[in-house]
Amino acid sequence: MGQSKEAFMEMRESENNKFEQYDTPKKLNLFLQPVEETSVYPIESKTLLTTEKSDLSEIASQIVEAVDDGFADPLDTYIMAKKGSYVFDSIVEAMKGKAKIPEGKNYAKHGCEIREGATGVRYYFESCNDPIWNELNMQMVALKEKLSEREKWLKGFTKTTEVEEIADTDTGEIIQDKRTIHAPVKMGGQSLILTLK
Amino acid sequence: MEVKYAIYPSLLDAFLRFKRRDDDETFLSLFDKINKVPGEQTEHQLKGIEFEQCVNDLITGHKTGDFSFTLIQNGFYETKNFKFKADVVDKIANKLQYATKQQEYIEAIIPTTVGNIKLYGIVDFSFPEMIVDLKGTSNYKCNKYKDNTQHSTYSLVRNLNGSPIKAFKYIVSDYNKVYQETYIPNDTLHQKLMFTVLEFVSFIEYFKNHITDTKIFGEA
Repeated sequence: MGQSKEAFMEMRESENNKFEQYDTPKKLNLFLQPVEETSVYPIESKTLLTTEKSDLSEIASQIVEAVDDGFADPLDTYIMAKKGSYVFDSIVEAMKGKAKIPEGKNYAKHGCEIREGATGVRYYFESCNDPIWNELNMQMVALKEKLSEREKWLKGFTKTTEVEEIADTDTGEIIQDKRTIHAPVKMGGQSLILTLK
Repeated sequence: MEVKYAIYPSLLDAFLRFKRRDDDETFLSLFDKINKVPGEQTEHQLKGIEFEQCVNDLITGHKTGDFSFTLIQNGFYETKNFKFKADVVDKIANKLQYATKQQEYIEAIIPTTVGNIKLYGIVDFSFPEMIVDLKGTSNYKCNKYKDNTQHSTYSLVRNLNGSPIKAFKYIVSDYNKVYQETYIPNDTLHQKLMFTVLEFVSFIEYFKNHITDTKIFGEA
């Protein structure tokens, strides 16, 4: 029995060596299946127009599944999706005001319900001719500008710094006491920033 | 008719950029534009100007036989400082060859609650029912000009002058390819433009002490 086990092990090792001579062992996913390097999922516009929502969900799900199961490269898939977003987002934006439905009716086409409705409602006060609102709005613009200038100045501090008192140049009056300025705290989440070139 | 404010689209665009705090449009650079402070011409700007000149020259050259400063050299048109791909320039010139007017000055005076406002500017290419603005840019992205005020301003001016347009197109080139953006004028677009104009009027009134060139107040 022991002898046959050794023989089996030798045979398997020999087979593996043979295999390695012909092919580099592929990286396996959690299903112990070889990982493909790239994924390509062509989406044809002629089918996209008539595809149902469940099919679209399935397409997206299959692509994500392929990544999650290690068949597809996550970065390639991300790049593919960002490029797709760029194309389709640009088209959607450009169709604003051009794509129309029969007047005053809810409309259904290609598995989509389409209706006209208010989106992104915003009030515009510029035309009210209210001097108080105009004044406040401009004070806000001026204040934002001042704030921006001050923030630019504060960004110049990279460490805690003692700052001398500031006196009014005309009267000599101290308008800002000597104080300690701490460097601004810079925080932010980490995510991939992709720029199409 | 007395004009209280005289405004053209690139000032409104600069104001909107300043408000959005993009493209490095600052408080000072905005007032430099209002005050027409001459700045140094960048290579990027010069390239755009010569590109437009090249297209214009090709269109008028077909009519007059005069190709004053462009030469064909190995598939390129050579201008004073740059070379442009002939197929790109040809494609644009071909599209625009039937323009009824080039570099046309247009204006309209609009009575508002703050006084008469003159909107004015120069249109690159006029057609009976369309206006085209030609743009050269080194970095194009789709719908780049959607927030520009040229299409809303010039379509409103044409409306008020009794020759409304059905579309305003930006024909854009990054000097390798040609792109097109089409905007359909409507009342909402014009209303939003007027809100921007009125806010800009408030802005120049509030910061009046920064203004040295009074042409914006309708003074010659």
